[in-house]
Amino acid sequence: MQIAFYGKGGIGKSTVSANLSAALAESGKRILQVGCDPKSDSTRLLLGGRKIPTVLDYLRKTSPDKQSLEGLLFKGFKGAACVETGGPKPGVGCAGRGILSSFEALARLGIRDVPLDIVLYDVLGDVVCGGFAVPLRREYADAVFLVTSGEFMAIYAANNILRGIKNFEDSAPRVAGIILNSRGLEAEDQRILAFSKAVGLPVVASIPRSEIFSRAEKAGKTLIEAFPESENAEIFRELARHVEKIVKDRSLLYHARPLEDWELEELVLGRSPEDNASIFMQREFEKEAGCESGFEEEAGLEGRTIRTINEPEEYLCETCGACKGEAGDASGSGNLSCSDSPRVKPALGKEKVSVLAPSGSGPAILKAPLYGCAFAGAVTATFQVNGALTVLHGPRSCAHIISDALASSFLRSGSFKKTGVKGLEEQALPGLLSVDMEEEDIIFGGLEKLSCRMEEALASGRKLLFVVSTCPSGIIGDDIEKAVLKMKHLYPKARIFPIPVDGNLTGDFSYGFFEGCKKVAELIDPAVGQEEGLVNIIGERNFSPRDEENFRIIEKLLEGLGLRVNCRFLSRADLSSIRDFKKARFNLLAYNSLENRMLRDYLSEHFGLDFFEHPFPVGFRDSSQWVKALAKSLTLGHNPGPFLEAREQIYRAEISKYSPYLKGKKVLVVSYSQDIGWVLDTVRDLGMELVKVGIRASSFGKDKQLDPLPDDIPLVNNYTDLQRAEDIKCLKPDLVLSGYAPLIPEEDVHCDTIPFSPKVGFMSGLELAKRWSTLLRLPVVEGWKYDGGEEE
Amino acid sequence: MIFSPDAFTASILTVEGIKDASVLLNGPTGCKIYHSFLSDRHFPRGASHDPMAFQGEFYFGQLRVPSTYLDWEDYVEGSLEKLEKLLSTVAEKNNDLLAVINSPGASLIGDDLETALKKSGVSERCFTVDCAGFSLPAPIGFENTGLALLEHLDLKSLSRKENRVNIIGLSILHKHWEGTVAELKKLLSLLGLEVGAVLFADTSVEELKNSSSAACNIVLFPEYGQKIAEWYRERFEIPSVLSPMGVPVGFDATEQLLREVAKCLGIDPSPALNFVRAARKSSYSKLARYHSFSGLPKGTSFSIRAEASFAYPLALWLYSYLGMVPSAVKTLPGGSPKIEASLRAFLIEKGFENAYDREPEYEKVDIAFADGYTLGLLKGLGCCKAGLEICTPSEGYIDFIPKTYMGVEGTLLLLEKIINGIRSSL
Repeated sequence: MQIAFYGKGGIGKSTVSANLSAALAESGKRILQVGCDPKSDSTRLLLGGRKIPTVLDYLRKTSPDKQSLEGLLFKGFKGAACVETGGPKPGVGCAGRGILSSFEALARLGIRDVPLDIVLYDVLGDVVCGGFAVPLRREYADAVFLVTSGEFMAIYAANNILRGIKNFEDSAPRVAGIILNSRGLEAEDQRILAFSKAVGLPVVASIPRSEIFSRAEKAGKTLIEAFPESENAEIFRELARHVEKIVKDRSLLYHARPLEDWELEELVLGRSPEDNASIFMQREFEKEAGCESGFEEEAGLEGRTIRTINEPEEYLCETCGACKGEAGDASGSGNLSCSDSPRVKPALGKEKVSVLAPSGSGPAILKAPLYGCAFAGAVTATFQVNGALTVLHGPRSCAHIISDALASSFLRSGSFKKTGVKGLEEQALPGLLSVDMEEEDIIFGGLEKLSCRMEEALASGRKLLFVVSTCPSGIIGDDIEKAVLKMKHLYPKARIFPIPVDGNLTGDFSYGFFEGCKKVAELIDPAVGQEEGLVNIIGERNFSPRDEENFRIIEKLLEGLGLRVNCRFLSRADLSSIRDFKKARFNLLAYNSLENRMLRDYLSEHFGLDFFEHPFPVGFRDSSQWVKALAKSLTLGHNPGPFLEAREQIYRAEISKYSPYLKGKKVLVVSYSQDIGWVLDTVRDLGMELVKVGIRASSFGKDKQLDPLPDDIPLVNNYTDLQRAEDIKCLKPDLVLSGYAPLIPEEDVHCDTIPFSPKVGFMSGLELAKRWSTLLRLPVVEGWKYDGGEEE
Repeated sequence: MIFSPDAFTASILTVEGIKDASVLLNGPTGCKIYHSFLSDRHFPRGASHDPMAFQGEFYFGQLRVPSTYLDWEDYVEGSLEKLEKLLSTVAEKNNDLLAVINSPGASLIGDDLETALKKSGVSERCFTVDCAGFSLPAPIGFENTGLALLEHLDLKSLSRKENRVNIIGLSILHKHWEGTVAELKKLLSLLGLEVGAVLFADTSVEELKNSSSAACNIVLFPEYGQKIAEWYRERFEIPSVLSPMGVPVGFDATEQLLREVAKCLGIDPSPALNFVRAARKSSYSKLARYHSFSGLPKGTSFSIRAEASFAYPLALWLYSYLGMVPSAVKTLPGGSPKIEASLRAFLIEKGFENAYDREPEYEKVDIAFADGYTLGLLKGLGCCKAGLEICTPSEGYIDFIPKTYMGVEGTLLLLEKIINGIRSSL
């Protein structure tokens, strides 16, 4: 049998569990006591005051192939086996994860194969997180004792633990009862009695305050060993006998029935309900819920005195009656009237309304999801600074995922040829360095390793570092800003920027990208003055295969206006171009996305920059407007007329090559986004007939601010597959354009896709025109499309 | 460099390598989107990329690896409510075996996944991986998840089928896994053997349940399969065959594996060895013609970045069969220590100790063997004239003809690529 001891920190759990272990060992039982407190002093009294190496220390110091259970188990009083899980120093790492890791290691090393009668888990303080709750899980704890004194906070902790147990309970009860470790306070027994009645649990042992405990502790022994004849030693022996009874008879266990906070306050502190505003709210809530089941103090429990060992009693739930003798009642749990509301005061009204379902069984209200993580967004931004090193503070999985996402565009860009590959073996990509947090860094905190990685990079000559945090480092509370500050003292000439986005704890990809850009913007020298003829490009995508090609097209368009690109913020940007960012007079937004608009606002506010709002133009009409507007904004005295006329001549000449094949042909367009103006322009310029534009219901492209499509476009929103099929039948288009090509052969109509990432500039539509003109001369359905169906 | 996946990714793809099994990721969308993409890329299940085809709360337009899309609040409050809803949503869709795998972040909050399974009524067809490991090598994630899966399936002892073998230690993460399975099946059929289950690449739950009837387990990548083979030996007394040279790359290693299998089962290896012999002969004439006027491939240099059990037989074969020069051999994390030691000893013995554990980007070679991204980098830096993608991540080449680098077919492919790679770079 496995037993867990929970209770408020400092309440005496270790003393109680060690004495119980000693009593059980004395009676010939094979005992294992597992201390689950980072202080690792639970088993000290069983070991003559000796502290033993902890599981976590052992795992850190011993290579996996040399690890064995013998290195972790220590024999104490009467052969009782002792284990301490250990944990991190206060305030760092994740003690909960430490317990999880220790338990996993013990299982891996074969603890379950050791012949034991009883395992006792002595668990740290309160059930503050899932890690501390591990011993509560069914596979570990068959029974749970609550150790408490009569102080309010101790009882409050005990009640919290009951909540934790309830979360883990399925059908069988698991609470073994309350152990009162008395502090000798006034009316302490009465408070415990009231609490025990209210939660329906017996007080299985009452341990009076006695100085012989401290005398035994000084000797590093339990009472059983140091003062075997003492009255208190006998209490533990009786408790041991009770445990043995539980081993044989699980009906001596009880369901967890925690109180609401206000009930506890009323019960223990005697606070009047009228004094407490929260009670009003609670009652309102009850009314809402129509909860009629109430808890009436059972007359049979009134005036009951605490004995050293209380025999479990039968408690009667008035509401349903079925809870009589809840101890061992396997059917009670999960029934709201029994397990969830017996201590909820009756509602004022008698109306019967449905009650709220317990957690998990009713419809869950789910939040809108985050797309991607801020860590990936921030790294995507900082990775674009040539010569900078981004330190990824997290496990290798995070480094792998982001390096895989960035690798393709990085290799296409060839920018690594410029930056070199020194020390590449440590990097996920040139420019990315993973801290590779391991289990021990998670448990004990990862800042030491982070500092080592930063120092290695700085010592090798790196001068610009960004440090970005992941979910695991955020969850364990690693303070990367502190680590960076320390490193700045050691390397005062280096520039190191922490970006504590903590994976997705702070937001999604867009948020992280914005945060990353903000940090990079700190490199901008505000004192740099403007120079004529320079512009910055803001917010290129960096993921599309077309990014570089599109940049070159825009660069050429700008050249036509007598402009040069100063800085690409942020796309493969050199440090010098970022520093001299303010040389440019105008800033051009590459795309009109949410994160780019956030970036625009930020840069405008902090650097007083002017922006040209029109994003990279796609198609002839858009490009003409873009060039005209840009020329006008820059007031260069530059007349774009000749430039535009030359472009128009080329465009018209090219269009006329294809229009003979396409003129009069009917087109149906189906799209997820309205960002298709350039496609519709091309259709018109070719003299094709646009029969309908169907916009499908989706979130794609919804973050863009788009001009509405012209009124004469036959537009249908929330367009469905069914409508598409009907339109093909009725409108008989020659060509259907959509985001994704249909795979089911459609005999009567040519289909093509709309490029997800179109080429920018005047000639975007020509690619389409050329393709459509040949497409209509090809078979409507290619042969392979007939091969995908099920075999007949 | 860290292009190679770790235990978390390997854990997910272990389950995703089973035809009728699905991973439910208890984690954020950042972890989900990548692994959905990866699973679909390595083991395609659907024909279309249209995200509208995979709408639904937990799917985000992707067919595979639905997730609980955790955010900060779930890390604080626990994720079980969402998980229970995800479980019931997925459970209604099909009868797949399910695995709930925690993301690294989710594994820190200690949610009791088992209770969620019970509440959702899917305990019998679902198992959990609480923590795949932090920065652990991919093979560990593969083996641990594989063992958890086998424990969950509660395999029964079945009567032995003398001509049935399992292949253990092949992940859908491995380059050309489909072609490898086909090649091994072909070679083993020459020994009169049939393959029962392939753990874990394109196998079914039913095949796994029947896997205890195999007469022998063949461990392909030892770092991915040795522990699992040991599990079968302990539970069902099924012997295993493990080539001391690692995976069967090159004629020698292929022959050795076939001999070991035949020895284990007491059968005659001749039919399969004759087949290898014929392949040796046919490649001889081509190599001889090329060599006669160029003197090559002897003396051409190579670098490798791969798993130890692949790097060792490959380096050995390139050196001994083709007379090529090892300049840099770097193994991925988590390799079999025994094979790693053999690789090191081999390079020292032949006077190429500097090549051991050397990153390929430090050497200029004639031909490099690595994952797609490393090759891209090496080519861009001018560190190799030709490159052969032998492991993932892939550059994205879409294979129509099933390929492998193992067995006879694989050796011939390697020869073809090496000779033509050298030829085109001259």
